[in-house]
Amino acid sequence: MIATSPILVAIAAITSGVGSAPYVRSHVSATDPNSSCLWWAAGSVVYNQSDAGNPVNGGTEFTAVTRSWQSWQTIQNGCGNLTLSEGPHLSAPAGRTVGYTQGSSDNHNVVMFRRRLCRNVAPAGDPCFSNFTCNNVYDCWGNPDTTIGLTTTTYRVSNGEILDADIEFNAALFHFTTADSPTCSGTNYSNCVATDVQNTATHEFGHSLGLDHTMYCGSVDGGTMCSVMRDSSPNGEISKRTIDPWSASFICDVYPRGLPSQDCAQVATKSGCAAVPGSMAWPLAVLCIFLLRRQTVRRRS
Amino acid sequence: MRCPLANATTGLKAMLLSGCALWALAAHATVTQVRDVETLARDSDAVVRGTVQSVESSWVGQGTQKSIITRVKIQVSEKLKGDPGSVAEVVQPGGIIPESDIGQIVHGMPEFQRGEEVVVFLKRHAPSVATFRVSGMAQGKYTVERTSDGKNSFAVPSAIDAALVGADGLPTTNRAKPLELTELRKRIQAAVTK
Repeated sequence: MIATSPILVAIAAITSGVGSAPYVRSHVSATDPNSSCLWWAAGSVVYNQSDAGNPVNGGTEFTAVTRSWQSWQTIQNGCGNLTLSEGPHLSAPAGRTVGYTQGSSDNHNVVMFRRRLCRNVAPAGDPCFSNFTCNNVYDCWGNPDTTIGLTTTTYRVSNGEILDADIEFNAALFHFTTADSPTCSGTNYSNCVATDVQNTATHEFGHSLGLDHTMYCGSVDGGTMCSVMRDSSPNGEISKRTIDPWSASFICDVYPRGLPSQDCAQVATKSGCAAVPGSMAWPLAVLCIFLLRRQTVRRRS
Repeated sequence: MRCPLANATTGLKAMLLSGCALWALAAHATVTQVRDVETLARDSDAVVRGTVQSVESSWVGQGTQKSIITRVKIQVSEKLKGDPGSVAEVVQPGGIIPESDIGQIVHGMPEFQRGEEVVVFLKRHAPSVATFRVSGMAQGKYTVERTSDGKNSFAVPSAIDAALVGADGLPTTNRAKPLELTELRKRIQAAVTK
C-alpha cells in the first residue's frame, strides 16, 4: 500500500486541477479566495450597445452581440432570477464611456468596439496616459495591444454585488467577424471567421455575470465540449457561441429562481464538499475524499 | 495570496511553489499574449526589485462617470534594467475605494500588497510620462518569497487573470513558473545585455 499524506494530496490536486473546475467565480479580490464572489442582485440587468458598432461588420455585429446575451438569458429563463435585456443603442458620451456613477440609477452596462489606439490619437504627455482615462477621453483602446477584449466590473466591496459591467473590444488591432465559416487566412477577412463577435461577446457576458475562466472540458452527448469560459480563443473559433452545461449550472446555482442571488459561501455550504465553487473546488474536493476515506478506514479498523 | 513557505521543508518548497503558482493561475479573464522573462525584459523600460511602499486607489475621469485607478509606489532596492528613480510609480486601472464600498476589477491586472517584495517589469505610459504600467499585465510581476532561514529566495509569478495566447494567436500552456531569484536575475540581465 502506498501511503499519501493530506498535504501531498492537496498539492497534487492543486497542480492538476486548478482552473479546471466546471465553473469558476470571480472574487472581490483575486488574491483572497475568502473574499466575496461577484453577483448581480435578482431582477433586471440591461445591456446597451454603443450605436457606433464596428462599421466593418456592416451592422451584423449588433445582432451578434444581441445573440450573445440572449444565450445567457435562455438559461435564466429556465432556472434563473435575472432578466437580461437590451436597451437602446447609446450614442456618445454614454455609449463610449466605461465607468460608474456613484449614487446614480443611470449607469449603463455598455458594450463597445474601440477602433483607434490611444497612442495614435492622444497627444504625447497627455495626463490621460498616467490616469488611465485616455480610452474615455479620446474614445480609444488604451490597454495592451495583445488584449482582445476587457470587461470592467464595478461591485460593492462588502458583499460582491455587481453594480455595473462595461465591455470593450479591441477593434483597433483585431479583425472582428460575424460569418459562420471558414476560418480566415491571409489578409482576407470577408465571409470568414477571424475573431468572432458572438464567440467573444458570449464569453465576455459570462464575465459580466460573475464568471471567471476555467480550462474545463467534459463529455456531452458522447462528444467533448469545453466551457464557454475556457481560457483560449484561437482565430476562427465559434464554439463559444453555445453555452456549455457547466456555465449554465453556474446560472442556476448563483441566480436561483425565486431566491436571492448567492455569494460563494452560500453556494459552497449548500451541499458540503460537492458544491464548493471556484478555483478551490478540486483541491478541496480531493481533500474531502481523502478525509472521508481516512474516516472509513478508521471505522473499519 | 502568499505562499506558505515559512516552515516548509526543502523538498516541499518546490512543490508548494509550483502549487501556489498554479493556484494563482486559477482565474483568467482577459486574453493576452504570453511573454517570457526575456521578452518582458527586452520590451520593458525598467525592471526592478523592490518593496511595495503604498497602494492607493482613487476615482478618476471627467463628468459623473468615473473609473478607479490604483497607484502603487515601489521602493527600489535593485535596478535590473533602466532607472525609474528610487521609487517607481505604477498606475493601473481597477482597485478598491473602501470608504465608498466600491471596487472595480479590470481582469488581467496584477494586485499589489503593501510590504510585498516584488520584481516588476515596467513600461512607461508614454515616452514623456514618469509613471509606469506593468509589462504584459500580471505576467510582469513576480513576488519574492524567502525561506524562513533567509538562505533561499524565490520569484513567484503573479496571479494572471488573463488567458495566454502565443504569437500565433493560439492558446498556450507556456505559463511562467517559480524561479530562484538568482536565476530570474540572471535571465533578465542576459536578455538586456544581448
